[in-house]
Amino acid sequence: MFQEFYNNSNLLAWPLLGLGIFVTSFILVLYYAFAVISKNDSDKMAALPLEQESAGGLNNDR
Amino acid sequence: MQDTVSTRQVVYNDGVVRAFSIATMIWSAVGMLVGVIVATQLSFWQANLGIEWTSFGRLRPLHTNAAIFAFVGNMMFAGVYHSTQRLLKTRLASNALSWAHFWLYQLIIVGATVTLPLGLSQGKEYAELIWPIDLLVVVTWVVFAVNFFWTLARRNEKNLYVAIWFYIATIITIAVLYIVNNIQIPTSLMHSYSIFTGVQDALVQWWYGHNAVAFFLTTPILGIMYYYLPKAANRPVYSYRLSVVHFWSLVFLYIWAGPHHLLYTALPDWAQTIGMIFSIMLWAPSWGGMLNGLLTLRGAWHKFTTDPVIKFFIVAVTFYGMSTFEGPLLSIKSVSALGHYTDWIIGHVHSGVLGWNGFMAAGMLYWMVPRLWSTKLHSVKLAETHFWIGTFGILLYVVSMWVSGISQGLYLRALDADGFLLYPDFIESLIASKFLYQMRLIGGLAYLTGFLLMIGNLWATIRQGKAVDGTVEVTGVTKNSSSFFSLMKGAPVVYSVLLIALSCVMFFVGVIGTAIVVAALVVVTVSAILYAKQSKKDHAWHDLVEGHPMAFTVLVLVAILIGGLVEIIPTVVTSQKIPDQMAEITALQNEDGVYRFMQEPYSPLEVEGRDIYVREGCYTCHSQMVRPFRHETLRYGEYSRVEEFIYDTPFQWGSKRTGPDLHRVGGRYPNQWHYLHMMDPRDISSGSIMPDYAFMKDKSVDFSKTAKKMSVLRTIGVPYTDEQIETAAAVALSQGELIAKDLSGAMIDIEPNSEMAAMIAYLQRLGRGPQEVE
Repeated sequence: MFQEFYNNSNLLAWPLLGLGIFVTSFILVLYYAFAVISKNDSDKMAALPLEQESAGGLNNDR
Repeated sequence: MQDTVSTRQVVYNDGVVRAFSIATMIWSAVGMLVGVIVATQLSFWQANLGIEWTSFGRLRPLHTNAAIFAFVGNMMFAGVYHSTQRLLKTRLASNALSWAHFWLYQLIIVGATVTLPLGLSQGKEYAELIWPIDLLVVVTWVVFAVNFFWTLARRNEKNLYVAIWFYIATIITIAVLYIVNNIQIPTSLMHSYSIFTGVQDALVQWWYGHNAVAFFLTTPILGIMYYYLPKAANRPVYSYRLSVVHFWSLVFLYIWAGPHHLLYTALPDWAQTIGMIFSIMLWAPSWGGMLNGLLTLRGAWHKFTTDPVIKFFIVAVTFYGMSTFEGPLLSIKSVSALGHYTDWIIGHVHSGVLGWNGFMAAGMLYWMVPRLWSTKLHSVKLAETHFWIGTFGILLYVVSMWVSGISQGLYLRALDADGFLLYPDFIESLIASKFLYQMRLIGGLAYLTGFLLMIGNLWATIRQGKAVDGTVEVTGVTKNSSSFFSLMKGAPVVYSVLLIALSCVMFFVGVIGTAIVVAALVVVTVSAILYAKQSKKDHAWHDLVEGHPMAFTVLVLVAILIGGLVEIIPTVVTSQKIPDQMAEITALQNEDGVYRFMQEPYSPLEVEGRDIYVREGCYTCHSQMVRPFRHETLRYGEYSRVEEFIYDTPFQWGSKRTGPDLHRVGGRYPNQWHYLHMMDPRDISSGSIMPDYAFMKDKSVDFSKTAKKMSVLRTIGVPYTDEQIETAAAVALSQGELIAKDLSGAMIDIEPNSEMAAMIAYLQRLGRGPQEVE
């Protein structure tokens, strides 16, 4: 019986709305990632974890 | 605002990272040890020891909570604090908050370790903790969030690396999920009822449950992967661009997938379908992330043979790919029909937690601990041994569960030529799985042994080293030059708002209006793309957002809220109309508007019996949801309907059937059967592995608390009258006397206020649908 209620409900529009927003956002993110970000910027960001640190600072953790 | 330039030395707060690392080691052993104990109980029922505190139903929540929140939680905090400081080139903002976070979190874990075996539980999977501990979790999470975002504000690196995005998503989403799923009304210091009931509770719980997997076990670990994998391989991430797409797709899609835990249940079909579709869509970003991780090792594959850290990471990422393939597969309705409630699901979750989370934790600790104590790993050979024992353990575990699960699914659905059950006795499927349960136990033991080797190895490493904090020389730009408000007024944000507004308008206009709005959407989208193309030489807008953690956080919040709201609001809003709707559809009301049939609320004794059912964790082995399949209706009775659960808080649909479904058990057997079954299940069902619950005969229920419970239930929406609440204790006792009198005819003597009487009352009530109003 509840299936009938939901099948006739305007609330079902909301999932479709969400799907629409996702598809639009996804296209924009794809476009940004592969057409807007320059190779230079991409390489710079990708290398962030590789920057070196030195050990031997003060051990002042407590 | 002008950029400032400075040169100074930053000393990281690695003390708290060391503490979380040690806690990770300790709690990994505890969580896995309890896992081995419950696996032993499933192979040998005697391991329940006949003691209530060590029964499977109470230890299983302890195992899951310890593995997820204690082990992976501590690992996550260690990795987040360690990598965040280095990626932002700054020390954690507050020593006090960092240590408050650490100690509060350990307090929560100790609290859970004490309360769960005592049976103090909310009865919702992965959300069992009682309300005072829930409050402590919220406080701790706020401390973590403040410390993290404060550190972001003090950073010496302009842009946020992708790992930081995943951490932000974790903090925001877990906060939303945890708070919403734990909205409850206390009845006492140790007990409460969720404000959600029935199908709403089920939807909210699995929205939380699934996304606890997504945003506690996946997104922070992906952040850790994006930092430590390039570190270990000494190579940059394969594709930073792919990581951008991976992040946004994953964050947006994951939040929708919860209903795949409720396929073919009484959840409305549209919500099930959404859960399935978005779960399948998750394949793409998950595999994008996996490939990005594996391809980061291009040119460094030779390290696989020599470096145990790389070994652990490769296998972990491979398991990530495997379990994120298996998850969407299991979310397809026809596959779920076979696999749900079976051991296949157990195999799936363990390939994720042991393979993905466990091996990522091992790789991270093997990499991090020697550096935190400024020394070398004590024994590479021991780490290699850990790797191979652990890999063997996982494979044996998941393969035995796959075989067991698929066999159970096929066995329980098998029909003969006349369309009747080929194997009507449920227990036979359990007996058939016994050998596989023993293989699972061996696999789990092997995995635990590997981790014990790791703990010994790392402890020896710590003993030979000396705790030293990392440092970095900071020079250069420390502040971004554009303001938050200028960003908010910028074209990208305006375009986004316009798109969302247009989408909303679409659902308030007719067919022609919709077509016009769709056309406008296309125009706006194309304009946004053209704008981005034109302005990319100046500022890529995502680049600007990355420089503003607050804006980034708001966008993440919007992304996760869309899915949650869209799924939950219709169900919650609709439920308020349920009585009228039922009346219209089924003519439950007579001409005067008086109900002819109603779902009757639980009696006082049944309320107490239900609380005992929840306390004992019966839902860990028994479902209360007969799916609309012929083999299920033949085996258990009429399929379950949504209106039958409107007074159930917490819902007890379950997710695994080690024993049969109980939704239609009410009235099926006499009271004597339930008594004997509870005293020793093997007297009734030879081959059963259920713990005995003989202690219920000797424990009494405190009926003085029943009225308060019913009063809270009335606040939630159960239509108890004042008189029913006032007379709760007396009515409960009289119903208990009826059961005791019935049993005395079989020479069985129980007290009317015993837990046994309450449990029998509840079980006999199960599955009774709307009753005729007299």
